[in-house]
Amino acid sequence: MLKLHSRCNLKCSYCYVYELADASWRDKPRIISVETLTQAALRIAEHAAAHQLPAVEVVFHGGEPLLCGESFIRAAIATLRQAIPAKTSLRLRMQTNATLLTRPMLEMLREHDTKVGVSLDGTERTHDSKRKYATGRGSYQAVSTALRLLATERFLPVYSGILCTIDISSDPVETYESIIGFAPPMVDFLLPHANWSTPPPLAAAADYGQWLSAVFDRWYDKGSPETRIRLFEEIINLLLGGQSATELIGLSPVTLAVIDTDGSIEQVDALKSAFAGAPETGTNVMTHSFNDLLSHPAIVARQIGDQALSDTCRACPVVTICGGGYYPHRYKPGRGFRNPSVYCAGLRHLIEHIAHRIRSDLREYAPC
Amino acid sequence: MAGPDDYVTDLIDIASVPLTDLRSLDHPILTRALQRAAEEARDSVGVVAGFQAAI
Repeated sequence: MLKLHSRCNLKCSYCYVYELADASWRDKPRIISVETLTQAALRIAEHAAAHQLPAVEVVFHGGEPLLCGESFIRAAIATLRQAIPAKTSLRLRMQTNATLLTRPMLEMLREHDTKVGVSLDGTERTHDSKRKYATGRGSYQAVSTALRLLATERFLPVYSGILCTIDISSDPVETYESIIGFAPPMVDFLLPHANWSTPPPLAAAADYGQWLSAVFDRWYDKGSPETRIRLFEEIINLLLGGQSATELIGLSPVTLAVIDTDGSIEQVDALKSAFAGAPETGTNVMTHSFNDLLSHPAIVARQIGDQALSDTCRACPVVTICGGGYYPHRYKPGRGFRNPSVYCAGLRHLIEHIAHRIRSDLREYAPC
Repeated sequence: MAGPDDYVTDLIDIASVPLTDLRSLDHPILTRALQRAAEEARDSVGVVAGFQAAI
């Protein structure tokens, strides 16, 4: 994840960068410098070459990356493409609030094969209750205009999907149906950032499992998929003995590093919701390689599967599926991250619900 | 409604399911999931690059 810009033009109420424990963004450059960007590209290339990686993925992030403007982003893409070895496929993606996603910007991203993921929290009412400009005005109208453009045939090749942070007070099926109205190829449902000192908002953890189960049934019962939902597909794959391709669930090693606008290499950004400085590793692309990061204790903890989990998790029958839950959600002051997820009850409800549905269908369609 | 036995969550052994023709499932979501699981089992997905060397 490569942060191009450290500021945002929205002021979302739940944002882990600006509204929670960590205020480190104040000390970061607003825009990544050309020097830092070039060095970041060289570090990625160095790692790809050293390990003969067939592919690497770089996600432009922020803040809001589109604040950098079209020409800067075009130059950033060129810098990366120039640095990455020919034997390594470079997959580029951008996560944006889409309020600045104009047709010229999309044309440029399409020209450079850079996929676009958009944050949208469901219906206009739900979205605008959280995702507002600093003036208090909701961003839904701007986002929906951009999404309608992105969903046209011309831009479908660069339409990555929609990321939705769950609002437990919203209707799950209504939320899902409002999202698929924009024809996203993939939907990511995120649990709101919470931990054992900051519990899930508005409801018990188990309620989030029920909310997601309702979406699962709506999605799964359609049979012919209207979209893909990453969390559900990963849980099904884990239940079938596969591995997870996301850090949100499962015991797969985490393959994500964050490069901030000052060149510092950090762990996943969402850790900022735990405590100030939680993502820091003390490394920087100017002085460290990504291999240096691999010996950091926090990184090791996310590479060794269930060995890094609490005794409670290791004794649990669903541990191979949930993997202890999303790492930032496990934090408890004084005890660190070796705890079950604060969403444990919700995850278990969802996993058992999906397991029951899959088992039933396998019996029905292919009886032993 | 699910019974108590259905809530014993464990891996579903796809090898025990005689799926000679995935199309017979007539459920694209489940079919795609079974295909992916089978491909991963065949390719045995590895760990993050460099980690084994790092430890």
